[in-house]
Amino acid sequence: MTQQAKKTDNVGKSDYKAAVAELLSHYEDGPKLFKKAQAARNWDFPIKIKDASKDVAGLPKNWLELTEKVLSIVATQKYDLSYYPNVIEVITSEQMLDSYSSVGMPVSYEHWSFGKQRIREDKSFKQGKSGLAYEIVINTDPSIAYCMENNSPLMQMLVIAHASFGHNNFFKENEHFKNFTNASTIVDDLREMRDFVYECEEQYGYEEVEALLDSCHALEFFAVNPYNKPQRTEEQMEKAAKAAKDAKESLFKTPKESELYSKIRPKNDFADKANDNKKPYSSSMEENVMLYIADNAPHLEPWKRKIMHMVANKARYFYPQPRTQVMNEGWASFWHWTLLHDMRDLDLIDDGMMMEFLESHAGVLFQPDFDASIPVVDQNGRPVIDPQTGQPKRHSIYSGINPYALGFAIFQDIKRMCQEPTEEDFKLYPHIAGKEDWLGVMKNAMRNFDNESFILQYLSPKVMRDFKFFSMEDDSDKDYYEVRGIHDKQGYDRVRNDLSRQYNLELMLPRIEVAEYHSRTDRHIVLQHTIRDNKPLAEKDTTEVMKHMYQLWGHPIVLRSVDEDGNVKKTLTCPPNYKEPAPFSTPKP
Amino acid sequence: MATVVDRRRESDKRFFSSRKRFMDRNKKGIRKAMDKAIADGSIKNVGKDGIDVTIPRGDIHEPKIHHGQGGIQRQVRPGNKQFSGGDQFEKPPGGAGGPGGDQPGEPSDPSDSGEGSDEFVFTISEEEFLNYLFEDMELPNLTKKNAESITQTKPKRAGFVSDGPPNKMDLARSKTTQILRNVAAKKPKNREILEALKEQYTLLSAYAPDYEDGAAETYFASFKGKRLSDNIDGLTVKVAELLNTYESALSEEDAARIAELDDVIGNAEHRKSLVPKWNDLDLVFRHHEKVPVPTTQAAMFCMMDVSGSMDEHKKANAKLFYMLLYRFLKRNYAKVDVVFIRHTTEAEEVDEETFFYDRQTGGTKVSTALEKMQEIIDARYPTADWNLYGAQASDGENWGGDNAICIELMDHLMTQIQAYFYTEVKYPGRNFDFGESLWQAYKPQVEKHKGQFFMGKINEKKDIWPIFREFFKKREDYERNPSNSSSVSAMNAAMTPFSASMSPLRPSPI
Repeated sequence: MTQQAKKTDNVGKSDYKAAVAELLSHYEDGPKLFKKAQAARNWDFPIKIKDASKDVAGLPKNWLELTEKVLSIVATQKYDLSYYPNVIEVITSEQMLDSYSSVGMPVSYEHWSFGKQRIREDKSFKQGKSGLAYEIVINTDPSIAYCMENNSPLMQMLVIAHASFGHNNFFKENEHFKNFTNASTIVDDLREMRDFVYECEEQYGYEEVEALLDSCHALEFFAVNPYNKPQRTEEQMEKAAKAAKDAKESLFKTPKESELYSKIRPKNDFADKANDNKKPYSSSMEENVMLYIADNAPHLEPWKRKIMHMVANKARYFYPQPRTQVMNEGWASFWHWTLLHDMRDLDLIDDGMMMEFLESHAGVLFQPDFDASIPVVDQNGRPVIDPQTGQPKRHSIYSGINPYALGFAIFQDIKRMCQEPTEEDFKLYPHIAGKEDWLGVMKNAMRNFDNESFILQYLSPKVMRDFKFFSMEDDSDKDYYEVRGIHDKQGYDRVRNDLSRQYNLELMLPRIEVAEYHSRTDRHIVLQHTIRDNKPLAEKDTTEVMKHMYQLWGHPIVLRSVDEDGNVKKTLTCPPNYKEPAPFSTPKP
Repeated sequence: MATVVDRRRESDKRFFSSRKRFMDRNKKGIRKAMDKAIADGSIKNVGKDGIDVTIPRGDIHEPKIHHGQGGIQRQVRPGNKQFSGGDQFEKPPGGAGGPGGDQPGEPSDPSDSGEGSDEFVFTISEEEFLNYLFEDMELPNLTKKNAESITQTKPKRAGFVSDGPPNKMDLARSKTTQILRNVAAKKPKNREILEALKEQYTLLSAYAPDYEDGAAETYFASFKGKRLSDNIDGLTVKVAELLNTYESALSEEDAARIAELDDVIGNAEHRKSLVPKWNDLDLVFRHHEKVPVPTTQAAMFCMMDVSGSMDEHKKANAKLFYMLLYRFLKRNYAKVDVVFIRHTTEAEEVDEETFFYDRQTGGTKVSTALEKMQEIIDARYPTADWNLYGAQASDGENWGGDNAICIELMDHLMTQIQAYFYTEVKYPGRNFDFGESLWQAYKPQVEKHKGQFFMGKINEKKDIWPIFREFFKKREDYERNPSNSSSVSAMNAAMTPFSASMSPLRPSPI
């Protein structure tokens, strides 16, 4: 490395402006590079290194690299953000559609449902129902950001700030991503899975593998232990590696009876507790239905158990995404907002670019009111009249709370409370209001929460007033809707609590656990659904999923819906007319 | 620093196979769409935009456990205008869910909660359509006839030879051999002659009265860039002129030197003339050998009755059948000749265009078409080299007495051809046969030539596809060597333990 390059690296943290100026001084167009690229609408704008700087090592060679470098100087030296190394991949719209259907992952096994997903994305895009994302970024190390080819230079700068610094930093530092995902191994894990699925297809035919994957997908939502820290220890990793090896070998041999027996022995003998189901939240129940079946199903072939573990592993990897979506998008939006303003302060982008930025930002963060609608027009642009009412037809454009808007608003509000606190803030948030280190406060919020707890902790009356939030209850036992609270003094707590609950993944999904395994009678298992908020199960789909479970388990499945008091409200069985035998009792001596 | 990768040029085939699986799962829907396309007669122009396949949503539903309707639903929404805490509103009749009703972040499949429509529509391309259309179909009894007496060859490079057509001459190699030969023969170079002439010129020009020092060099300098032989010619003339003028004035010494140089020149010219400029031996030609390629050759005879009784309805169905057949053959076989024969009371061979689109009427004599077919086989398709197929479409009406002739011709033909397909086009509901119909006459043939003679009736468009499929479905039950297949499966069984340790043939990991 030459002296000059060393100097670049040694610039003090406070002096990010000098560092940016120094970096750009090596280029012929200097600080004008970004404006020129924008004027040419070319994100691959040729950048020319000055003859005098030819020997400087480590200078970015193309416009996107340079943009990332400049943003990284500001992000690290001014804001001290950490992130996984960035990979920026430029892709076409077709490739973006491909990425959608594999949730952005570069590797995946094959399954018809991905084909269906791809067709659906394609249709929805071509019919103009949905626009394409500007970028997709995935939680890997290095972090891969896919940027669309038709983004303008300004948009590329925005998406790099958003994805490669905002999301990337969130992936790296948020507690839930740290606990549930392993960014450095996921691509290898998925590749291993793909190869193993291929091997099984060769060996057993793809119909059988497909049927297994269908069943796995049906149970995907019940394949994660939400409160368990699945951090792998050295020992566990070794064990897993050995299990994988065994599974591969056992593909070609019949397990000895003793091995089989040891495998099917249940971890806890639920049967003994069969009479003690008064406590719905008993810790002895197993909430990871998929892994329970994978580990304990009496007759399942080893390769099927292994694939189930792999699908569960994948489900766990994706689990933090919905759990932190509001925070994650809010954090990324906060950073594209902040970094682009820094670019303007450094005079690297001009007013016109700033206007384009603000327009895109406003478009992404748009939050329509719950009753917002637009007139329906026909092909000629004339309004369509509803024949029943005689009024012009309108089409609702409200599709829930925009996570970008809510997350951005809360993070901005935290910063505001630190910098311009009001009396209200001092009263409600004494630990935040007026704090000098706004960045530290925000980073703490980003690291240690998920949507539910984040909203509970940080949703201030100011944000509720800005959004004009109100909470409405629909109880199927009552013949009216009730407004539980609005954005006023009496309503703040209620609205905050209700919104927090709304983002609680545990409440969104029915609570299903494996309660009993009757290993000594006919080996059926009993699942318990704990009814909350009086919400029943969607029977048709549940019955379908139970068929899949029956397929895997090989013995009858019973699903009991139990209310808060432990009363059984409804029982579903697969096969449908199955009757449970009397529980096994040890003969008394 | 970031790594930037431009992926735009890479075609990602990852979803190709997942898409294939999705379609395989929905074959029923695709078959329905195909039947419709055929019944609509749009088989001719299938392609360009592909065809739409509609499948019931239930078939591709991925069930997940989720909450159903009912219970207590609480929703926080933005944009309050006039509500206050504690307000109550009567529920609209029939509206079970709340206003709006979306659960943000609900991790469920949109189709599961109902996108509104019960059907899922997707488009398959022409390629995919035809793949499905002709899947599991083949020409029956196709055998490799006469692989030794091949007519099909493929040129293959086979080194260099000394003889050949001019267009195959390898110039660079020829020139190399020519130079080598000249060097070996010590062929004098033009440069030697030129040097001698130059010396002569220098000597002679010195006698000129206006002689100046270096005049000769100046003159020689003008040679640059001209051809050696041209310079030699020019200089020879000049030297001869000078010699004429100054011969008498030459000093003895110079005269001797000039004579000596004359000898050198003459000698060189002589030796040069002994070595030919180009010799046949110099020429090198690229050589291609014709390598025989074993092929399975087949010819399909398409015969259609275009007589007066064949009205537009029947003809349209017959043509549709042939259109299908034609697409099937064109798509599946590189080496299939298709012969089109149409007949009234006379038969003629026509081209594809005429066969499908030209109109003609007249009486009916089916035997003429069979005669024509026999004639063409004899003339162009020796049965030893060709797999031959006949396909005939007719409304079954024939001239009295002609049927017997037909059967006789047919019996002879059947000894030469692999299979024969007879399609009778009729009107729906008007299936009574007149006394002497072809159908009755042909019926015994099915038994007589089992596995070789096939017949079917088309009343409506929807009949075409089942009959077509029946005719060309893969037949495993005969013409397959049973010992062969069992040995293959035995080999597979033996292979199994090894194939597992080999890495399967798959696209390389990304």
